[in-house]
This record gives sequence, structure tokens and C-alpha cells, in this order.
Amino acid sequence: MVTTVVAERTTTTRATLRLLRTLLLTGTALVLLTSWLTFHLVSGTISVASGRTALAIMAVSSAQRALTQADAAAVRAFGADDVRLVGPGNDYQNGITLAVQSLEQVAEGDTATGVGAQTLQLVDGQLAAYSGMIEQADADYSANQTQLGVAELLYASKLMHMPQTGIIDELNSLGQQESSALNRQLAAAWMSPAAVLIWAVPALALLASLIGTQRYLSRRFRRTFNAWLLGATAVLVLLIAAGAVTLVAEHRMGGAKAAVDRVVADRQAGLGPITVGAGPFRDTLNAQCTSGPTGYGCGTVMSAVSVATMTADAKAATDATTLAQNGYGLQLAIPLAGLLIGVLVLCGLYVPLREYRYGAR
Amino acid sequence: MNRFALVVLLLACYLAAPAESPDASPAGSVTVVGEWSGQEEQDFDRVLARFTRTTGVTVYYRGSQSVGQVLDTDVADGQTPDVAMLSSPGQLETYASEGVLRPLDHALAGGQQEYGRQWRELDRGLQPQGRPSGHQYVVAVKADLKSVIWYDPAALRDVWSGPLPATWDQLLALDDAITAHGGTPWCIGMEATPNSGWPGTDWIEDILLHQSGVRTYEQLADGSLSWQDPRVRQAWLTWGRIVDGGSRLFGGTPGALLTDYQDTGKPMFTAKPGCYLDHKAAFVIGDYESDGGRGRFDFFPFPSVNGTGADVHEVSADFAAMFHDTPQAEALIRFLASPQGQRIWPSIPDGGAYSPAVIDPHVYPDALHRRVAATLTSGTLCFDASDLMPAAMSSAFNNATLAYLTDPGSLDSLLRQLDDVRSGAYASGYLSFHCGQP
Repeated sequence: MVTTVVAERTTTTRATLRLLRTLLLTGTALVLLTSWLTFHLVSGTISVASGRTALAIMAVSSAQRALTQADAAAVRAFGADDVRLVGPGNDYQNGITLAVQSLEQVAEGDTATGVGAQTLQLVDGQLAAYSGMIEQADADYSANQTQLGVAELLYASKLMHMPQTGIIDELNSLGQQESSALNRQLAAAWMSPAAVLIWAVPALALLASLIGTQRYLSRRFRRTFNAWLLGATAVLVLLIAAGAVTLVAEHRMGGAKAAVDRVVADRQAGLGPITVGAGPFRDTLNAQCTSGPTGYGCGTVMSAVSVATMTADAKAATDATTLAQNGYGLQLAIPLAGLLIGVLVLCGLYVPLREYRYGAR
Repeated sequence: MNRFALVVLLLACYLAAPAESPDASPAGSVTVVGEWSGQEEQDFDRVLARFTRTTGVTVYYRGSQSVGQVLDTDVADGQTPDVAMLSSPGQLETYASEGVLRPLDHALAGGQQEYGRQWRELDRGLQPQGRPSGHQYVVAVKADLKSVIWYDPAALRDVWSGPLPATWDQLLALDDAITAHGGTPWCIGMEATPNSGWPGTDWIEDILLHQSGVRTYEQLADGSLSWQDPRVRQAWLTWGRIVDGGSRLFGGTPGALLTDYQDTGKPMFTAKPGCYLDHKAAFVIGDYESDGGRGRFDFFPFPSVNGTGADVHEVSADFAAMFHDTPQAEALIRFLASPQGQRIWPSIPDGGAYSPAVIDPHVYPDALHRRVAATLTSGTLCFDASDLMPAAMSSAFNNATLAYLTDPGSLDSLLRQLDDVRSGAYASGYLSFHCGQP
């Protein structure tokens, strides 16, 4: 009878230890997989959203503002009769140059989603047509075909400002496409705070398993602490804390989006008549500006915020998008932590298993 | 370890993004690009919806007012749509030289029976140089009549008691009568961004057609006639008599330059008419009705000049061309040219569409529309010449009319410049073209 009792005790402990080892290693693998996948998805999405899409949105608004200023500058040049000497002027040239650079940035940022590719191509073509029309207007005006030159200037300005199909409105459409893409990116399933459960539940289950295993070993082997398993528990707690970084990154991305929206709002501009210079066609141009529903032929750009505020907000948005992308090296730390937990679990159960390797004594 | 592998596999499947099929219809899909947007796109959507209900084929339509540019980019990227709706067959030469056009012979085999002989000749007569001849590459799916002059009958009765002009001299007499009454004869608006000036090209073309005949018109359209030819020069001078330095235009030259072509009819319907006559295509009916002119307008055909050009009309059309001869694309082409397809758009109230086919006239909303439709299927029909020209040539033509309007004395210089453009614009070949005879 005594022999039977001793044989039952030996079989249960060894089997239990092996089961615990399997459970802990499986749990570790599951935590490693889920935490790494979740971090990978979140960081990848934020990288695209802040590093490309958000910057594309800001570049669109930059192009819009630059083109609005360029067109107003050309109108002013004609209105003041300066075009004979300086053409549409340096402000016009600078505006076109900045717009082209901004559109290149949009194209670069749009490569991640491709949502704006067609609109970008359309705008590129329209911008080429607009520039050609301004050149033609300049050439005709300077050749004393002043009436024709002014008409051609107004045709060009209308191409810039006409509703729905004008360049500015096409850029509005492009900006909305990029904003929609950003909203879709931020609405992905793994970007939701609830997605933390994907890795948190397995991690907490593993934590409970580690604590339960240590309590079992403490009772069964009369050893208060298992240093290896204690170490595994500590690394797991650190891993859980590090995983919470994804929540911080998501919050920062939300802040970056708000900053980008602020920049876009800052750059909205109203239009007004020419207020400087006194060329023979200034009144004709101003008449078109006040009567046209879209404001083409206008020589003044009016902003709700100062240039200093615009610049500060743009810097803040750029800084916010950069900060949101900070991964704190977790792409390496998570797999290393998972590996370490696995090794510590194996070490922690090695000695107890060895004690029961040869069965009953 | 087997359990572990299973967990990993299940998790990977769970996290994998679901694949989406772009084509939900078992009958397939077809991509279409066209320039229709806004209300026109909504009207075209009704045509496409009927096609989908009939065939089960899904249509993906992309509309853009810069369709030529969109297509140029698509061709360059090797990502052409299946079907394109073109208003300017002059683009065909470009696409033909890229080798991306497909003939419509198979799609239209036995079809187009309701099309008049003129339209079948027009469609088959458009032969790009870069493609094998003897094939049909376009089919007109919506047409418009251009050789018409609109007026307000009540307003005209106040200044003119004679018959409606049937000859150019009679038109000039009407013009003088209006001026003698202190009125301004012509409503002209040249603004049509980004193609301002094309209303002027319509004038030159109509005058040339009715002054020098079909063959001369065809030669100008296909690029084989010099712009400095005396017949062409005469057409410009004849238009010069109409505009007369701006004195016979509402708003003068500045008004003509800066008035949107869609707004020219507004002064016709004011209490004291700002102008009395408007040379415009039949699509203008929709604009007139929204300008307060409902029930207050009529038209007479562009008069013959020197006895030439009776029962000959300048027309325009929207064409379907095919880049991929898939079964779905051919089905769409066939439907658009079918009696069923041709009835849909003209039957839409205020749709402003006319069929190149001979369809039940009661599809059209009133007698005025039916007269336009009847004219579109009778007589000799010639496509808008500038729509047949390469983009560089038609753009130069547009600009030349603007320049001539502001400085008629520059005509000879303008014609020389147009010939300079012509020498380079047709480098990839001439689009063979013939008017359609009844």
C-alpha cells in the first residue's frame, strides 16, 4: 500500500512540471507573437500616416496657398501695368516654384496610398496650362495687345479659381482624399485602444501562469523563490509596460492629426481686389474680382492668421508627426524580451524536472 | 509544439487582411473615361445603369473635364481604360500612333442600322494614320447641331418684319436692321476656360463651310489646306464683318472676350434685349431655359453664302473609342450604339442630348428639339473642324480668333502663324476625314 502511494506522487509532479513548462513556453510564444504583431501593425500604420499621409496633406495646403498668392501677384502686375517691365513678377514666379515643390512632396507622400495619383496628374497638367496662359497674356500685353492680354490673364485666373474643376478646387479634392486616407489609416482595427487586448490578454494569462507556477514550486519544493521564474515575471511585466507604448503612440498620432488640421485651416485664404498700383486695367480686373463668384481676377490675398502663426503651427505639426513615429526601439526589444522569458522559464523548471528525471527513488 | 504551430497559424489567418475582389459582378466589368461631370455625368450614369441592368456588366466611369490629359497620362503609363468617350476625334491620331486603339468592327457588326448614312460615313470616315485602314475606330453616341442661329421671336419682330435669313446677304440685312433700331445684333462670348476662343472657331468653320463648300472644309479639317489660302482668309474677313471691331457685339470687344459662352443668351431675354442673335450649338437650349428664356427662343439654319452650303450642317458629337477589346467593352460599345441605348439620354428632360440615330421623334420633349434632331439626320453633315485637329492646332486656332477679335488688322500675321503651327502639328500624320453625305 505504501509503495502505491509513493508511485502516484512521483508521476503527478513530473507530469505537472512538464505541463507547466509547455504552458509557459506556449504562452510566451503567444505573447511574443501577438505583441510583436500588434506593435508592428501600429508602428507601421503610424509611420505611413505621420511620415507620408499627414505630410501630403500639409503639402497640398502649401501648394494651394502658393498658387493663390502667385495668381494674385500676376493680377497685381497687370493691374499696375508692371507686366511690361517685369512680366508677372517675382512673387508670381516664387509662388509657382513653391507650388511645384509642394506638389512633388504630395506625390512623395501619396506613394503610400496612391489615392491622389490621378488628381495629381490632372493638377500637374492644369498648372502647366495655367503657366502657359500667363505667359501668353504677358506676351500679348507687352506687344501692346493689352485688351487681349488682360482677357487671357482673366482666363488663366479663372482656371485657377473656378469652382469644382479649377486648380484650387482640384487641390481641395486632393486634400480631402488624403484626409480620408489618413482617417482610414487611424481607424484601422489595430489602432483602436481595444486592440491592446490582442496582446494584453495573453500577457496577463502568462503572468498569472508564471505566478501560479512559482506558488506551486514554492509549496511542492519548499523553496520560497525561483530566481529564474521571478526574472521571467519581471521581464514580462516590463514587456507589458512597453506594449502600452502603442497607446501612447496612438495618442500622439491623434495630436499630430489635430496639428495638421490646424495648419490646413491657417492656410485658407480669402481674395480681395487690387489695392496697389494704378494701371489702365486695374478697374476692369477689380470689377471681375467683385462680380465673379469664385473671385478670379483678384489681386489681394487675405489670411485669418499671421504669417508668424502659420509658421509656428507648421513647425508644431511637423514636430508632432515626427514624435508620433518614435518607436523607442521596441521593434527589437519585444522579440528579445520574449526570447529571454522563454530562456528564463526553461532554466526555472530545469532543476525541478531534473530532480524527477529518474522517477521514484 | 504541434499545438503551438496551430495557434500561430490561426492567429496569422485572423490578422491577415481579407482579400477583396475588385470585380463583384460575375459578368465582368468595364472601365470608362469621359469628360462628362456634374449633371451630364448623372445623365450618362442613367445610360450606364440601363446597360448594367441589361447585361450584368459593372461599369466604372471616371469623368474629367481634362479627359484628353487624363488619357494621355493613362496611355503613357500603359493603363488605358477599356472605353473612352471623346468629344475631339483629333485625339485619335495620338492614340493611334501609340498603337492603343482597337477597331470596333466586331463590336458593331450588323449594328448602327438606325444611324443615317451620313453618320455611318462620318464614323467610318475617321481614319487615323497610325492604324490599318478600312476599320471603324469610333462611333458617335451623342450629337449636337452647330450650324444654327438662335433668336427671341418676339424681340426680333420688334426690329425686323422680313423673313428669317436664308442667305448671307439676308443675314447682313437683318444685322443692319437691328443696328438701325439702336440695338446690338450679336451675343458673342469667347470665354471658355481652358479653351477660350472656340466659339470664334465655330464661326470661321461655319462660314467656310457655307461659303467655300464641303471639300474646302474637309481640307482645312484634315490639315491639308493652308491657312493662308484665299478661301480661308475670306472666311475670316467675313466673320470680321460680323464683329465689325466689336461695335455689333454685346459689351463690345471686351464684353465678347470676357463673357462666358454659356452666358451669352442672358441679354437676349432682358426687357430691352442687349443682343438679338446667338450663333451657338443646340446644347444652348438648357442654358436659355435657365436664363429665363423658356419658351422664348427659336432658331434658323446658318445661311448659305454666295449660294453655297445649302442643306449642309456643321455638327459635333461625343464618340466612343475602345482601348481593350474585351467582351464587356464590346458589349458597352454595342449598347451605346443600339436603338435602346440611343433613346435613353434624349429622353431625359433638360438633358440636352440628341441621337445621331433616327429614333422615335417623340422621345424628344418638344417640337423644337425634334427639329434639331431631324436636322441632325438630314443633309450633309460635317464634324466640327477644330475637334478633328491635333491639340496644338486647335489651341492655336482658338487663340487666333481671340487675337483677331481684338486686332482685325493682324489677320495676315495670324494666318502665317497658324500655318507655322500646322507644319508641326500634323507630324504624326493626318486624320483622314470626310463629311457624311445623305
